[in-house]
Parts: sequence; C-alpha cells; structure tokens
Amino acid sequence: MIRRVVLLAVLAAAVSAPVANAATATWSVTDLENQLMCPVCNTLLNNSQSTAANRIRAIIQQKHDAGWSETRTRSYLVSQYGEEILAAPPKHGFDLLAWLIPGAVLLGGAVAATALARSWSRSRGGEPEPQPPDDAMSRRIDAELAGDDT
Amino acid sequence: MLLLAAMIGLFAKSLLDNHTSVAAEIADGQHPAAPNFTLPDISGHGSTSLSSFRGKVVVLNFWASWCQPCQTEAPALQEIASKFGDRGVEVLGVDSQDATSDARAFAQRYHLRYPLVHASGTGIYQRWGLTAYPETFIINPKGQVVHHFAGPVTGQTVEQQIQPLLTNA
Repeated sequence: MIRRVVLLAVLAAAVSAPVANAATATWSVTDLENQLMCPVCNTLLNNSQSTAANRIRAIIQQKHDAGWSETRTRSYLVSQYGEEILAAPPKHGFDLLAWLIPGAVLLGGAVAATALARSWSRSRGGEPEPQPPDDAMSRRIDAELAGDDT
Repeated sequence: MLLLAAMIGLFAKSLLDNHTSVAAEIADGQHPAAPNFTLPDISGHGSTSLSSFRGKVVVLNFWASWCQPCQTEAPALQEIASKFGDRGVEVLGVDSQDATSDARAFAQRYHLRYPLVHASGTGIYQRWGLTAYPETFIINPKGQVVHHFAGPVTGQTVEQQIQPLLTNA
C-alpha cells in the first residue's frame, strides 16, 4: 500500500513538473521575435536567416526556457544590441517624437483645414441680400403686372 | 510651435547622424582623426578609451562572435599583439552587434589577450562607416586613421601597414 502511494506521488510529481515549468514563461518567443529587428540586415528578425539573426533567436529561446520574462529578455537584448534592435522606437526620450509627430501632424492638419474652410466661407460672404425695388421700379413692375392681366 | 521645434530637432539629428564616416574619408585619401570612444570591456570590469592609446600604433578591429571571417583572422590579430606589443603597437577589438557572453566565449576559444570592448547600438558602426564584419583600421601614433581593411586581415597585411608607422615613430 505504502509503495503504491509513493509510486503515485512520484508519478504525480513527474506529471506536474513540466506543467510547472511551462507556467514560468507565459510569453511567446515568436511574439517577441516579431517585435525585433536583425541589427545586421535591417529587416525584421523573423524575415532574416543571417547568422546574427539565428543567434539572437537562440538567445531568446534560451532566456524563455530559463524562465525569464519577456520584458527582461527584451531589456537584455537592448543592452547588448542597442535600441536599434527594437522594431518600433521606444516611447521615451528623443524617440518619443517618432510617436508624437504623426499625431501632431494629423491634428495640426485638421486644425489648419478647419481654419481655412471657415476663412474661405467668410470671404465668399454668401449670396447678396436682395434690395427692395425703388419707387420707379415698383411702379414699372406694377404697370407690367397690370398689363399682363389684360 | 512644438511641432516646428520637433521637426527642427529631427532634421538636426539626421544631419549629425549622416556626417561623413571614417571609412569614407579614408577612401577619399584623407587621414581623419580617429573619433574617440569609451566602451565597456567584454569582461564586464572597467572600460577602455581609444584615446588612451595615443602615441601608439593602434590596430582597431571590429568583430562579432557570430562572424565566420572574424574567427579566421582572430589568431593573426593575437599574433600581431604578441609580436609588436613591446614595440608600441596595440590591438583593440570592438565587439559589436553581439552578446557579450558570446564575445567572452570567442575570446577564450581563440586565446585573445588584447583589449576587447563591447559596443551596443549602431552608432559606432555608422561613425566608422562599417559595412560588414570584420573591418580593421590602422591608427598612427598621432591618432590619425591611415588605413582601412574591409574584410578579414592576415598577419602579413597588417604588418605591411604598421611597419612604416613604427619606422616613422
């Protein structure tokens, strides 16, 4: 009986161990690779089969298997290869401009377009207000209308 | 106004980034002053500045551990360092676009005993005008870059370039 219990405990531990290990790295190697550049070939890491790219992929896999978090792995790669390894510019320092400028250009364009549209509509001033006919014109109109009736 | 300032900033940065590289100046027949850098040693202890070798002939080698031709030339560079070390020649290896752990393993494998530093990022790569690994520059005792090898070197080709500098020193 005791042997059976021990055997079951060993089996349970053996089965649960890989599950526990798998739970330590909750991020996808491929996802991180898709966020990185091959620093030598200036293409996305996953589009490169260069020796350098293969080495970086191996490092990512090693860190993943060692239970490193995605953030820690990314930071390590940046420390080794520089921020140029990131496919998207970081959202701090001077590189923040790369994120802000497109939005600022769009916003500025929208404001400028609105201001121009208003300016044009004001300069056109719309149709001129009809002026009431003067006395002579009124009499002539009346006369012609009276003539039409006959 | 903020947008305008940002645009000017980007323009200024692009101008700074695109200044002429050392390799391009050498190709034009010039002998530019070697741009200084201070980089951490691959051992993780301390750092080394290029300017600390002023007065010596410097064989500046850019390499990476994953680069096959770098493996071919590594023994020749160590031989140069051993043979000319007491005659005022310093070999300095700059490991770039590489992991320092891989660089350390490379240095052990090839028994490299000359100073080896690590550069992260592509700034130094662009400043020196590198296009592939390995590349080697010869710097005279005045701190001027006088020769550029694109591709692997041999002991003989390096010796040919440094011998006249030693005679003139």
